[in-house]
Amino acid sequence: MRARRGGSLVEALVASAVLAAVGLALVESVAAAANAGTRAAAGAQARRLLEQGLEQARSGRGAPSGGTAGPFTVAVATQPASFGALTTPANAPSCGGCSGAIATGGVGSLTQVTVTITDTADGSVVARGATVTPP
Amino acid sequence: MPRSRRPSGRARRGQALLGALIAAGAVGLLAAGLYGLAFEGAQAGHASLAQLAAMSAAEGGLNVTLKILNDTANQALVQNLGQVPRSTAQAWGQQSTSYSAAQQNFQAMMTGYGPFEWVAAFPDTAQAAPPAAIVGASGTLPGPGGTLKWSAYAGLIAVPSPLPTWQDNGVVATLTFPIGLLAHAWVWGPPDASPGAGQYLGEVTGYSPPNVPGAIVLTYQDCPNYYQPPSCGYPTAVQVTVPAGQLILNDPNAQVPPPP
Repeated sequence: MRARRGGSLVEALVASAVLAAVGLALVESVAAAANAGTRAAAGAQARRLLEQGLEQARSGRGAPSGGTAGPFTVAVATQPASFGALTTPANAPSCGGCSGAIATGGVGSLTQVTVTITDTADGSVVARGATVTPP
Repeated sequence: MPRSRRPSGRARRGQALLGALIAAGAVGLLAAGLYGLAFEGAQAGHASLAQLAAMSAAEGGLNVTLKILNDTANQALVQNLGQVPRSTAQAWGQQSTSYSAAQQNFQAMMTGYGPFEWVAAFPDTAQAAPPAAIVGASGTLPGPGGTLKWSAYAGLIAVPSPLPTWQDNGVVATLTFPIGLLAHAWVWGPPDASPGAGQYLGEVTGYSPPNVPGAIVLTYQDCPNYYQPPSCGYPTAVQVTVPAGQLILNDPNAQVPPPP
C-alpha cells in the first residue's frame, strides 16, 4: 500500500514536471509567434519606407529626406557614386588616331544614396539599402 | 448477468501515463509549430528585405555602367567615327540588306572605331544574346547585412529593324545606323543578407531595344567632281544616340556568372 502511494506520487510529480515544461514551451512559442507578428508588421513598414526612399532616388527625383517616420528614424547619406573596376578591356581601334579610352570620369556626377532605417526606441537597424541615381 | 471487468490499478496508471504522454506530445507539436511559424516569418521578412536591397543595388550598378557607356559613346566613339571614310560608310549603309549583314557591319564599325569590347554574345544572358559592343563594371553598395557586390554590363547592338540606310540628296549624304541597348546586372549579398553567400539574388534587368532604337548618324558633304578636298571624304557631323530602352525583369534565359 505504501509503495503504491509512493509510486503514484512519483508519477504525479513526473507528469506535473512534463506538463509544466510543455506548458512553458507552449507559452513561449505563443509569445514568440506574437512577437514575430509584431516584428513582421514593423518590418513591412520599414521595407515600405526603404522602398519609397530608394525608388525616389532611382527614378531621378533626388535623394529622399531623412527624419522620423512612425517608430523609425530614416537616415539618408549621399556621396558621389563610384565603381570598383571595369571588367572589360577597351578595344584598341584600328583607325589612325582613334581614341581607345573608356570614359569613367562622369560616374562621379551620379549620386549614391544610402537609406538606413533604425528603430527609434532602441537604435537597432531594421532596414538598409543603397542605389545610384540614373544618368 | 455478466460482471463488468474493471481495470486493475497498474492498468489505470498505464492508461494515465499514456494519456499524459499523448497530451504532452500534442502540446509539444503545437509549440514546435508555432516556433516554426515565427522562424519562417522572420526568414521571409529578412529575405524580402535582402531582395529589395539587391534590386536597388542592381539598378544602381546599371546606372553606373550606363553612364560609362553613354559618356564613352558621346566622347571617344563620336570622335573616332569622325574618321570613317565616306566609301566605308556608304558600304555599311548600302550592304546592310539583312539583319546578319547589319550585324557584320556593326561589328566592323565597333571593332574599328569603338573603344568597347566586342563580344559574340551579350554576356551571361538572355533573349537571343546578340553580338554586342560592351562595357562592364563592378562595384559595391551597402546592403541590409553588409556590403553587396554588383556586376553589370551595358552594350550597343544592331537591331533587326529598321536596317541601316545610306541616303544621298545631292547636297549631303547620310548613313543612319539604328542601334539598340542591352544592360544586365547581378548582385551578390553577404552571408547574412542573402539566401547564401555568393548567390544570385534574382535580379536581371535588361534594356531591350527594337521598338525604340537609337541611331548612329554620319553626315557627309557632297562635293562637286571638280573640287574634292580630303575633308570631303570624312563626316561633317557625327551623332550617336543611345536609346533609353525598356526594363525587363526576370529573364528566364539568364545565366549566373561568378561573383566579381
